[in-house]
Amino acid sequence: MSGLSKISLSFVSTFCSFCVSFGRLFLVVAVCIVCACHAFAQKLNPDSVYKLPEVNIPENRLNDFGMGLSISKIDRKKIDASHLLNLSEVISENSSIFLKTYGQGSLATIAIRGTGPAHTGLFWNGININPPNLGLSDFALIPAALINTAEIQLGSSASLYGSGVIGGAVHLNSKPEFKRVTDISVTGMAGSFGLYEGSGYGIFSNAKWYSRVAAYYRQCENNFPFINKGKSGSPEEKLVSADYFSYGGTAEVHRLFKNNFIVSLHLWHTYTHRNLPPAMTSSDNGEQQSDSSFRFLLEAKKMFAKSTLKTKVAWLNEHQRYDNETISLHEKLNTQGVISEAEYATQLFGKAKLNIGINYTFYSADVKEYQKNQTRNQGAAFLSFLYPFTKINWKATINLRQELVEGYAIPFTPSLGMEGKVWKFISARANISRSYRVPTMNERFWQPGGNPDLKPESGWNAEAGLFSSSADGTKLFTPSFSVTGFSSLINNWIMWQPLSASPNIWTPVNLQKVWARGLEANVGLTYKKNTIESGINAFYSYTLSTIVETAVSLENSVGKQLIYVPQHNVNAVFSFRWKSISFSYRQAYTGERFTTSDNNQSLPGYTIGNIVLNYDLKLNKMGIGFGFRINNIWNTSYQTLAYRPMPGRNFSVSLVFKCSGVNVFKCSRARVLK
Amino acid sequence: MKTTIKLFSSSKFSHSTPSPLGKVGMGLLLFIAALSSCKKDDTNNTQGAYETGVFITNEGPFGSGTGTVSFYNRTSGAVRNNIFEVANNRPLGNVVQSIEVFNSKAYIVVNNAAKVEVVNVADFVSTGTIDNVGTPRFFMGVDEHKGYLTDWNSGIKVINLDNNTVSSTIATGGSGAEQMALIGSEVFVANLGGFGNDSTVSSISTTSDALTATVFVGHRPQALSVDANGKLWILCSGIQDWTVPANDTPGKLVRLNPTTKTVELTLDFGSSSDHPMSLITNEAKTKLYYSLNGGVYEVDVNATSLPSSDVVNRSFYSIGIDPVSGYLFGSNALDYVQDGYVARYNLSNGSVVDSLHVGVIPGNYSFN
Repeated sequence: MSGLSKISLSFVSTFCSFCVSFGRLFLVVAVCIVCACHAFAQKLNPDSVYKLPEVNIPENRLNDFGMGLSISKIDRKKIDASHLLNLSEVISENSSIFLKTYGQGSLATIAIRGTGPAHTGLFWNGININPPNLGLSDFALIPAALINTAEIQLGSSASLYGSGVIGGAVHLNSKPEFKRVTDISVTGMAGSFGLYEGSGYGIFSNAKWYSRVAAYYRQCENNFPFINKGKSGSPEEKLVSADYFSYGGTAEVHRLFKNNFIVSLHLWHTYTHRNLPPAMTSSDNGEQQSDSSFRFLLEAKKMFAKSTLKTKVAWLNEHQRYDNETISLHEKLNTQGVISEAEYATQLFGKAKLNIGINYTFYSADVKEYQKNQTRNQGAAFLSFLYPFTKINWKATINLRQELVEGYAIPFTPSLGMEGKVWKFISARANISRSYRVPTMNERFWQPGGNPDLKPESGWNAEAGLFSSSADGTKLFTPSFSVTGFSSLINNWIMWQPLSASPNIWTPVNLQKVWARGLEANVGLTYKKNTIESGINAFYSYTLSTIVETAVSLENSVGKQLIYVPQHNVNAVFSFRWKSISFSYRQAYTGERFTTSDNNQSLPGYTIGNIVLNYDLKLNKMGIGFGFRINNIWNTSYQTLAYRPMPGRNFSVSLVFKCSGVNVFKCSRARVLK
Repeated sequence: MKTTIKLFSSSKFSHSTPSPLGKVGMGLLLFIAALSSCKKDDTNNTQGAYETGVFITNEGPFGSGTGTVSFYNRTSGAVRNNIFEVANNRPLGNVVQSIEVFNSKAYIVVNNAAKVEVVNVADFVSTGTIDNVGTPRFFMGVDEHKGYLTDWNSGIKVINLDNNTVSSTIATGGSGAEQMALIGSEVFVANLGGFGNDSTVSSISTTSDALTATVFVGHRPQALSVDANGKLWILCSGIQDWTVPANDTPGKLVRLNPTTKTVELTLDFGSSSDHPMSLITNEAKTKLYYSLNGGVYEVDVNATSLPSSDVVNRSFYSIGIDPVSGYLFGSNALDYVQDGYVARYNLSNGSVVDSLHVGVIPGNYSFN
């Protein structure tokens, strides 16, 4: 009873603060949107939607040739309904992947299938955006507001995408649809601990043009109370120096020319400034960090009758600033990447498909500790072949890739995958592949310690599983499942170790061999009748990732689980929709994580519940949505990383204005018809 | 990005004094200890268990972890780990830098937590915390009521030992105050330079807390020891400039006359890649020991040149000499994310005696 009233009280206060401090600005924006929508709606009759024959835009390599891999897709609709802040949260809510996070809004790194954070590729429309100095990304810096669709691929796809895709990959994609659509959505969100976010996106398209713009601004005080177990008497304290603000936008324009030729331009900019809070066992050092990303991508695709030619060139710029007043440390890191790729896909005999391509990448990094501006040239040639065994409903692919990187001997990277029907609605898949990771520029050039003699990490991965084929959707109950077993062996795993002659200098070495294996399972059941839609979906992963070989002196780590890799991870969601009301409840369990490599210390497992409530009101072509979210509903006190506090029960409310289906490109339509 | 700056710490003997506790006090403490320990481990009878033996501080995992203190019992040969948390039911804090025993209290300097934890040596139960002390490095007891604490940010913090507060701050005439040595009524402090570079040693009057002299000794003075002749030895590590290697300078071993405050002897290391660390003495203070390039070297206090061969051919994270056994304690932090160990060496023949399983990154000792 008291718990419930507490919830409602906090909710009321959150909502009030939302109304007062955010309402005014939001109202102005919302009124503008509504007026605009209304005006367009009046001008055009939405029933007269004019349809051109749809062009078949080719899929990316992953979907065409990644046979036997486990891929799950999170679309914009799902992101819209979840009121999450960043990619880190989107992934952990839609999978059983563990992300190591320093706290809400703080650094979050991913570890898929018992590998390290540099073993997952992050791709933006097929371009690897992990910066060359670190080789990994902070998933808290990718705002949910700017994501169109996110695909999570588990396991290695190095034969398709190259270095660093050992544990898995996350692809942020967008795909144009050349039909007459206008879709505008503006969201205002307010939450506990001074969280405010305004975001929006708009899609404007017709038969020739597709454009999508998205933008957001977020700020958060992040001063949540927590039990400080690092202090005498475990007092309740408020987190200090954890505030941040962040803004950014994306824009993309695609033009379809008459002869099935598409030119696309993508832009991305995000900026985040964070104060870095101390751990419970430390004092506030006045640390702060700002991260700025500029990304630019130009693509051209030409679709012939049975083949496609794709070319793209991207320019990536990452700028990071770190300041620590206490130790007078000021760092400025600046990296650039130019990535260009051309690929040609064609249909061969009997629906077999072939894809060949080349990639050239240039990286440059301006980091004080490299002693001078360092660069890296790398090139790759790749080939994929798909053969469908149509009679038995199976498909098999072979992917081959050879990369050439200045200063390194890169292993030839093949993979073999297949999938197909085995019985009724049950399908099977299997994949075996080689993988590798080129040392990062930090590992090579950082002084002191940078090691020019490093070898790339390399490994072999095998996986096999069963899954349910897509159901017809006409039945009342639709079950779904998938189960996958995997095993990866990674050699020459790079670790920073102190030099034996002077232990205050650390150097990266090809130290250990790691064997990561485990099981992933996903079961779901949906119920659909008239206006009711309900479902349960549960993810479970079991991961054993142990050190097989390492330095002689580190014998205590042999056979032990890697640090911060939970063996068990569960994520279960119950959802219910009736007419325009939807509700979901999610319960997640993260198992024990060892914090020392001899497994003598660990953090206990924890379980967390979340609730999301949505109400969508449709008014002709306009819509108003109301969202309410409770995080950590059972107010669990937990730590993801040792002595890093996490927030207890907290709330957010969202108000969404939408308008869609009307066409604002009246002029261009007129020209088309001429 | 690897921003953790790893610092080397050396050890020195602690001023050990017998416990002044009477029978009543002992009984009371025993009662408290029994109450507080019943949850944890009933077999641990901690009262008086830590009065004679060796404390080893373990820095703990960087970033988010907590450091610990281990205790080595010379008689039983047993090691008790994490004794602070066991006695006080809370973690010690991030990056435990050093420990000093003074006046039956142990002062544990916790660098990144900007604090010094004060405990009774007898049972390791907390008696206070000195908070907000910047980037603290080493503590030294001056008298019954006063202690000095070096802080890279501000110099020396004068600590009121009666209420565990900072009473004043002494600017040391240099930057990055590191180790201290007490000679007569003066404390000598090495101005290491902190995250930059410095090259001086300063002296401070313990009666007036005033700076009395600042002397140039060599780049990055890191460790201090006093020998049997009453002379101050200073180990300078030399400059290691990773962004401009041409700026590197070799280390120096310097002898200072503490009365005249003049440098009497400078022994230069040969190569600009020679950056020695730690400076300790044997119990008689007739021999000095330092670490260099994977070995531990011995110098007689009357020597006029540096030795060419080492006495123990091993690399250690931190070294100390047990005045009771005369053994060298050398720590190995392994991969820095697991429990390390301390190996004991017989200095007369360089052989290993045994090794002790301690905590994560063993970095400093106090021999009592």
